[in-house]
Amino acid sequence: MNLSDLAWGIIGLILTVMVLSYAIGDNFLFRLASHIFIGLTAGYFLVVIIHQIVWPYWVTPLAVGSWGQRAWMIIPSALVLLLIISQFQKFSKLGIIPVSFLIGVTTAIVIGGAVFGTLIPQISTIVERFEPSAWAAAPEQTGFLVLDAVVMLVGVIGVLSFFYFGRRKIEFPDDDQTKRPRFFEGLGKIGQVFIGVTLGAIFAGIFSSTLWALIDRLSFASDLIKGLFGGT
Amino acid sequence: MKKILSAIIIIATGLLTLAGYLFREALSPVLALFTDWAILLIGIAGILGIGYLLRMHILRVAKKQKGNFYSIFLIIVFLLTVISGITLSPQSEYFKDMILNVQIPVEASLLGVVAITLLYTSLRVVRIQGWTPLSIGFLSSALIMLILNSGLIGFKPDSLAGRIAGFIQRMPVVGARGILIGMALGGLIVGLRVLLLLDRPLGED
Amino acid sequence: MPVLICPVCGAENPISGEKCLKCDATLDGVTPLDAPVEGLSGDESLGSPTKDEQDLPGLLQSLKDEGDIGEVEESLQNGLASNDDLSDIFAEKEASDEEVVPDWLERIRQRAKEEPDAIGDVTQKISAALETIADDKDENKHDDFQSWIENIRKPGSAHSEDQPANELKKENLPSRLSDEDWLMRIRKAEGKLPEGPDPTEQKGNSLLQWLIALEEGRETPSKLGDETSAADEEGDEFSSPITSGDYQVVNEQTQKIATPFKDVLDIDRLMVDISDEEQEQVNLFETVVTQENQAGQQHRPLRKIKHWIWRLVISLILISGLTASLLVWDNADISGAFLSPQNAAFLSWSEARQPGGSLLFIVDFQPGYFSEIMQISKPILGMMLEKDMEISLLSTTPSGELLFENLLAESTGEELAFTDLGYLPMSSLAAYGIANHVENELLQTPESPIVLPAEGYDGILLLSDQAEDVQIWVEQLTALMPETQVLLLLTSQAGPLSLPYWESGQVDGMISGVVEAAAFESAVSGQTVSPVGMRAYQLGSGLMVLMLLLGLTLKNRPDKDDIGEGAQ
Repeated sequence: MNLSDLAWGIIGLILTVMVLSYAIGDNFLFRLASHIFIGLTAGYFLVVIIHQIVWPYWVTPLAVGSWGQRAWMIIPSALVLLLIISQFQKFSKLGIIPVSFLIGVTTAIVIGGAVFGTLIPQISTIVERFEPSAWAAAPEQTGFLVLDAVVMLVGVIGVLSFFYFGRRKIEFPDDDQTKRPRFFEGLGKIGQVFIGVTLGAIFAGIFSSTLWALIDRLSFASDLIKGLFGGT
Repeated sequence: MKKILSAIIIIATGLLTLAGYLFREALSPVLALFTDWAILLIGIAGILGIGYLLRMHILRVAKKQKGNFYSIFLIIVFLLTVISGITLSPQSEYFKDMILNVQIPVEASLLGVVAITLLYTSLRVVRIQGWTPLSIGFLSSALIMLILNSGLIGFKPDSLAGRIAGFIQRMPVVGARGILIGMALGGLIVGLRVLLLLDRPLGED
Repeated sequence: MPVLICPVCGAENPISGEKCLKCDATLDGVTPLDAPVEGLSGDESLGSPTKDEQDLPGLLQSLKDEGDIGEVEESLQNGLASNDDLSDIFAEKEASDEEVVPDWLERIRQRAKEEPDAIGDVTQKISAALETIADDKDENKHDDFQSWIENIRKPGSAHSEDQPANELKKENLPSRLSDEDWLMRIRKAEGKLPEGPDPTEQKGNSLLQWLIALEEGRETPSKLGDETSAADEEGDEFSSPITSGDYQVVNEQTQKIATPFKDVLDIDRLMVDISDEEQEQVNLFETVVTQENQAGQQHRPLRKIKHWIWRLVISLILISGLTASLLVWDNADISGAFLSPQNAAFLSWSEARQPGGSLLFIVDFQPGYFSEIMQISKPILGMMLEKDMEISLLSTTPSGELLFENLLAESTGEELAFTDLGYLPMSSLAAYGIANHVENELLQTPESPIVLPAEGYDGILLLSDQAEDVQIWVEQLTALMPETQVLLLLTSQAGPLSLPYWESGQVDGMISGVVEAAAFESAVSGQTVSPVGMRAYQLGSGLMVLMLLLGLTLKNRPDKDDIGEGAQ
């Protein structure tokens, strides 16, 4: 371990202890570490934006691009200037133009992704599970496959029913209960179970990820201390 | 006038971007321009955001408000990072070490704190939720997933026990698929409302 | 001209004022009122109490401003001394005011004749107002009151001789008197039973105490609800909320001044007509409020300490257990880790790669997850580098490039070259941008940030820690580049919500979490590979299972933490 590694290791250890001290409650050390982290991250973010976005996407095309490319840069330059100017109270309404552009692009990306990337493929998958040819391909597993397909269909409809009726119950608490189809109410209850199962799996996943991060820090600390005191 | 201009921009850029999914080859040059401009705008918005953050902390120090001590540290570290990044360049070994040797320990330790908090709050999951279909599903799934994902207990996939275990392990996929379809439907509806100008994300009447 | 009446001191302030000129209290949210017009008779300005419940400070101020307080006060004292109904007090004052009888007073008189309890509300407030003003104006008057009180309390005085009102109350409402028992119980339960004299002695002057405290700014109108409920318990609409600790701060002097009005307020008891059902509801409400307050006050610090201790103990158990397992055990048993279908698909894809191909790695994880992602991607990176694949990198996190460099260095033990396509700040834009950045003549400058090969990549490997980002990437790549093979290397937390994309065939392989990575590495190397820290991971998972089971058993016990012992 060279001196630089040792120095950074000690800094890392100190920061680890400062942050983990939050386990005993909010304290001075934790806040200090948090602010150091925010300051460093913000500074680094600024450097990265300048080096990787402003420079290649704005300055370079204007500086070394052809006249055609420079001409195309008039529009983004105007949008950028409007965005900057809109930060002043007097010109705040000018920000509508660049923000409208961003809204248009990102909204279309969300729609396109939702339709072509999730709705069509995922619904197709559910339908395909009921293909008799797929069941016939593995006769020893037909029971499992049929069960799997039915559970998938009922579960997905149940989850969607829960989303719909759960939301309606919150938004329209006085809504006439009898107007709701009881069938979908029942499916909504089944959907609750499936959502619970999924959330349980996500919970287990989150715990596993955070636990591994904690183990990494403890492992790092014990290795460093062993290294400092001549351990193996 | 501003409302009309905003509506025209949203519809024009939105429809053109959407058309890119169907006519990608033909529209690729224009769509590439759009994405580049959007990336540049988001980058500039990021710089403005950093400016606001810095302004807030400078004001806190100037007005000697509560927490100004921490703000001093934040500003010093921020300036140190920016100066190092500009003078040494982001490719400098020293600069890289500085970034990662602060970011990784702090973020990983924060996740460690989350692990501790999750462990502690797991005691109260049922007490807070009570016995509902959701909490029953949640608890049983969490327990099974924790045990199966520990690597201690497992079954060969081609055995009967393995098939049953696989079936149980696939149960979260059912709910996940429902959630994904629900999210996609929600995104589609909201997006269409914005593009059809039924919703005004900028808040104008 | 409209003015703003200070809610604290009752002073008039200009409509444009933000703070009270007298006491500097904020005037935000104060409704402008018309100022009393000069020359208006006192009775007319007192006409405002039709909305008196909201404008009590305004009423006090208007009384101050009128200047004929002394007369009213004198009349009031005379009235009390002769032990007449308060309507007579006003009758006397009226007689001395040259027969100017405002409508409201006429109505009160009329009602007073018909129903003896009709004037109570106004009377109460005027009494309170007078008392407060007397307190403000002249300390000497306190002495006068004191001597007057002494006179009034002498046996055989006119006041004590004849009290039809009290008698009526006792006759008609015997159950109200017995209600004092339950009030005493509540007070005892709260530990607020005053020592010494019987607290019921102070019932009569309690409204004054409250009003005075209110006007002096020691009490806020927001407490009215509590007070009313407490007062209702005693069968007296305006009686004291002695049950609340805040009300005991009324100083002794104020109590002395207020005492003469005890009997006036006793009269008002007649006006309250609460049914037994209402009484029971009030009783129940008060009990709940009392218990909540008691539980909150007594157990909050204790509960906080308890939670803190629990949290500390659990933290120590987890940290010391993990540390011990890291120091003591090197290898863990992962015999239960088998390749799942998505892992097997990843392995098949990896083995099928031809040397010299090209791969695009997308780094979309935060530095905190570096360790987990490193465990997961290590075997893949090793395999790909063995096949001499060309590697490109695109980041959607600012430090993506640094993280990937470290990932390569720690996975292979050496620094390897790769093509950095730069940082893109938004996953959706980045995914959309990749698909549209192939051979774009409009944009490609010599230093263009994204230059993708026209023939595309052999595979795109996404390293992510969030299911939402995975969703965005997979959606866009499926929609725009359906021919490209997409593979996922994910943290445990991103796995469950990403699995449907593998099942639908949008993703060609997936590894999520360290256990799946260990199974993958074991399958690649042909021997069981247990990463360092696996035993600690198993211990931590076991602890979580234990805590969840413990939580189930605790459910059956009385939940002292959540509702407090007072509720039991």
